Amino acid sequence: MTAARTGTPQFAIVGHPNKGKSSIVATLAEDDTVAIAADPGTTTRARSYPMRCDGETLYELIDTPGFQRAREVMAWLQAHDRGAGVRSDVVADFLREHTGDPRFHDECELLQPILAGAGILYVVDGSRPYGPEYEAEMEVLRWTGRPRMALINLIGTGDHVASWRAALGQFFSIVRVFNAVTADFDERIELLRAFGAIDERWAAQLDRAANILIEEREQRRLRTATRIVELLCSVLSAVETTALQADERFDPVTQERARERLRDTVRNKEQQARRAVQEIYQHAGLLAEEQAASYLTEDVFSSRSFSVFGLSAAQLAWTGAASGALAGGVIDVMVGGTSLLLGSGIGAVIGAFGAIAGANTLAKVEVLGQPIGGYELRLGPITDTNFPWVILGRALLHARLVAERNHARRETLVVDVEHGQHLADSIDAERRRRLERSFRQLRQELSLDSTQRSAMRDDIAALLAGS
Amino acid sequence: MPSPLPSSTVFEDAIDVPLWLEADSTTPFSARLERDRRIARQIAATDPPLRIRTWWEQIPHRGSATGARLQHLRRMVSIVMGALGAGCGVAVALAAFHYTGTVPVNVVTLVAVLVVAPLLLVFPALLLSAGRVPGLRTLSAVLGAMNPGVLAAAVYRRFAQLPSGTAELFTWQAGRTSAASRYARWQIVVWSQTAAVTFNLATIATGICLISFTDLAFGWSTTLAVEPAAIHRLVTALALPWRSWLPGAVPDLDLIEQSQFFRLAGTALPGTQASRVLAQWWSFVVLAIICYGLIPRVVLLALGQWRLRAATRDLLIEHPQVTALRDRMDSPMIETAAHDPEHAQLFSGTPTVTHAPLVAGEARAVIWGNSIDRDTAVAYALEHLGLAVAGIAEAGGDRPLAADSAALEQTCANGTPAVVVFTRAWEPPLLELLDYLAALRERLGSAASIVVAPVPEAGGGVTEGERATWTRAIARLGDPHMYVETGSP
Repeated sequence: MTAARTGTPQFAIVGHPNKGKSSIVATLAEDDTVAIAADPGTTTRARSYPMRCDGETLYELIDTPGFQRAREVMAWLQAHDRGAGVRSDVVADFLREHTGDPRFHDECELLQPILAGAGILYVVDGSRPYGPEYEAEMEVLRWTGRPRMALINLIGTGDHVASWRAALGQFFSIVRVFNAVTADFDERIELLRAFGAIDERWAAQLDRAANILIEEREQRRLRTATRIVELLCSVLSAVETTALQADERFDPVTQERARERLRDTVRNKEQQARRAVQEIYQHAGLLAEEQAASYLTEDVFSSRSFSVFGLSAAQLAWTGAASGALAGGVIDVMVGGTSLLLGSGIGAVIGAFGAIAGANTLAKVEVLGQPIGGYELRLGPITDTNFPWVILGRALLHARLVAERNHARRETLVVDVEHGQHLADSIDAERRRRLERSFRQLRQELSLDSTQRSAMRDDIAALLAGS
Repeated sequence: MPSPLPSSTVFEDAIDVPLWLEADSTTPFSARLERDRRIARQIAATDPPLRIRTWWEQIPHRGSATGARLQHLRRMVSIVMGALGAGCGVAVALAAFHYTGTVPVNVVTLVAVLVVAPLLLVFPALLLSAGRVPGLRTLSAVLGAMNPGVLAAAVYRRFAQLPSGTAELFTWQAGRTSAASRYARWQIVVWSQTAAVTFNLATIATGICLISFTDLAFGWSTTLAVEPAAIHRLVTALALPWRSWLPGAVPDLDLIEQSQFFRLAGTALPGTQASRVLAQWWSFVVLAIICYGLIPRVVLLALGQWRLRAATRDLLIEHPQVTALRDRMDSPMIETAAHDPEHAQLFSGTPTVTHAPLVAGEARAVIWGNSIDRDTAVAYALEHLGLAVAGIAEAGGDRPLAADSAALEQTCANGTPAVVVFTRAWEPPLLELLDYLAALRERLGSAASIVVAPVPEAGGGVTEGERATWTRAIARLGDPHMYVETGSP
């Protein structure tokens, strides 16, 4: 049983070839797999784009091939006309007789869903002049008797909307202008609600679908903000460590290699975040161009540290002192306190010095094949105070561009780094202070608790919304 | 909120699920969303760890064993810490209850070593439990370094071959996230308090054994000038927790007076009767260790276990990957894209023109679909195509099909070497026009040239895109004498 028969609104997007039917579908269905090309005949079969919420279909768009031989179809219909009351039956007769006929393949593909109950969205290009050759296809659509709306798409820069309105008004009760390539989310939702005017029985369902899409939009914004928080947390705490030989003290080549690895780590994290954001907005296939940021210059903290069992030298000394004191304390007890706690004191001193002095030897010891200590070169976290703002600005710009990006557009997304910096610079003072507090905490290698992360996410979500 | 799942299961999930999700992040977002929401809709449980566990059971994850391995090691470390604590407890008790038969066991020393010192060491343990205390960071770090739990965690970290990102779970004050930090803190507290509890149990057991199987005599002695009455007040205060229900375990003033000894006096050796009296101290000593040594550690261990359970739960549900998973599980699955694959036919490139273009001469013209008016057509053909138009017919557009046939007849009558078909450049080459061109070819024969001339909108020119579209469409007909000519722009 078709969706239309079950009461689900269905819309067949029909019209002349190359007038942007597929662009409108790509935009409304947020599907960048829709093939969009200048050659007629690109769309060869009707393709369905159901809008579903947890499996429940709320409406369905059907992209169709364009009319190729509309005058011949009209001639056939006129030749078989049995009166105004049964014209849709004549169209059905046409369909029955020509299904499988390669000559009328495209017409059958586009009429099939209409006769199955779909509403008609007839698409024309308002940037090109109206021509009377369109009348045959509009007349065929009128014969179907189905509710219909005309959409004036604007592919080019010309403006022939007025003449199109006049002509379309003869065949369609509702005519709207909709630029499939530049339409933003609000315009898409407005159009979706307007589809309800085609058939009032569908209005409530389409309103519900529109509200769900608005909620989903907000959800996407939060998901994007969460992903940006993750990016900031991970790059601000990124640390690169390299195990060193004892004689490898501050070797510049080793340092540069570690620096390059840290740079790669940050770059990869940014790219992963970009991909994740694009996936959230269903732009997985989108290609983005972005200049590499010039971070990691003079700002990378580097140090050489020692560890045994993962303990620093200071921790090791205290541990030695405590162990020595404990051993000395047992002696104090055994002599009934007559040592005046000298055992503990001496034990602590011996333990502390012993732990530090013996560390180098200990570092070379392997237990069960595992070295128990050694030297390492440590780079990071990046301490440049501007660094998080560079990362945030770029992430915000990319996310905004992706969120606004129309699925009918096929060109590469260009992320202008300077614009990103400008975005970061224009964040209001109060929010900037809050974010800086979190950045400082992360730079100090302190973690953010879930409340702080939520607050940071909300701030970034607000920035994404432009507020 | 406690989870109905065992803590060990939650711990294993907290290790395995994020690791798997990290690897799964290369799966397209929409596929993850669809999968996780589909599974979530079948789960009735509302407790987050239980929901995640149920989800995990439905995911083909090839039985990841990292969590189970770490859990096993964690248990081993707990056992080792318990054993170490017990060993130390036995050693310290043997030293503290040491009695040569010459000088009684000094209760003051016993209380100092087994009651006061452990009681004082409760404060560092509390400081450790509190995490980062403002202003006490250095003290915390020092105490952290000395804590046996921290050492146990360091050894664990060294030998557990921890997967990337999980080492912080066993590093004091190194957690990258709040949950990891909490988990590390409480795990360390539990390990250290496990050792402390077994230390105290071993101390009590050793003490009781020594009391039962050897003849100990207790006395009290101090260099300080303390009166027995003051000592009585002190022990009565210490015995507060049990004196109401075990009055016999509170030394009275007589016992305290009788049991004071001075080593210098050389009269400390009691007689048989006196020795029996002095042995009455034992119940006070044992109860003091239980109350001030064991019970605080048991309470701390219970607190640690409780908080560790909560931290393990948070470790799972607050992990960013798991948060994202829960978001996918709890959000309605919205789909707008097509489910079936795209079957579009894509054309690209500009075919190479293999025919010899008509340079000049005379041609008949067909104006298709009102693309140009007659006068303009004549001038356009001459100017852009170098052709003189000898006759014009009109077809297509809103005309009836019969008009197409008439135009065909008119154009092909008496033969002609060339026909120019004017059409709108911005309109696509429809099959209707291609049918007409085929009919034209049939009537003209294969030798005549057919020039398809897409004309631009008034005031404009034919764009590269339009030219390419028309050229490709006509080339697909495979007619060597039919070609597209747009002339000079």
